[in-house]
Amino acid sequence: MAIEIITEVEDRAGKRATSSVFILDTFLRAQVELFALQWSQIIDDIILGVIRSVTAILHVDISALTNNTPTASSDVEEVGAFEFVTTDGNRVKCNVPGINELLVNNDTGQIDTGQTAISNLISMFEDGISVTGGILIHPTDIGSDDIVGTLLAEERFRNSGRRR
Amino acid sequence: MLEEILEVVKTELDNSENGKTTFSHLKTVLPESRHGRILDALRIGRSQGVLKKYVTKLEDGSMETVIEKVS
Repeated sequence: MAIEIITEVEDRAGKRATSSVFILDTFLRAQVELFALQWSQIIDDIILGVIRSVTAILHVDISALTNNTPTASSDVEEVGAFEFVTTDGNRVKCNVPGINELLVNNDTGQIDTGQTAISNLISMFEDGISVTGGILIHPTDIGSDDIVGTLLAEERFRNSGRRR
Repeated sequence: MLEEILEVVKTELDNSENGKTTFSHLKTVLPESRHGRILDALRIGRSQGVLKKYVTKLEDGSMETVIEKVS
């Protein structure tokens, strides 16, 4: 799979749009960062707006996932809203579109943390996933501060901004 | 209530062969009314340093929260 370098540009009106390029995922992180920086310099030289961010996204092979067909009741505007806290007290949000209604309490809108699938998501944020070699990969906030607790898990409704 | 749940967790860890148990297993030994508080109890156990937990992929391909005894 590939790494996607996304450059976000802002115009004078404050509107933002992105430009992206894909590269192979075989390079070292430092090499990818250098490429991304130089790619953004090339973009910077041909625009009138301002580059606000440059991110690198690793695209993952998802062929092993088993939910291949959206069910009739699936709706990406029904969002599982999670909010976590880091060791420094920073808040980290994660919105999961298309949350399974069976995991939500109909009366309160709270997501049922007693369900194993939800436990997995929360434990992943708070404690990490064990990958090969016994290594734990642990989510952080944007400043690399560890996530240590959960503040909120509830269903919300949000326009997807996309219609078919 | 959380201390009671944590005691059950500790017992399960002590009784397991490898010092590990899973969230799904804990649900089988705790009444359904307690399931929504298991994570809260596990956080207490983690802060006390008696256990750690993480998510892993099992041999059957499913994801599971594993709780491990800290010795």
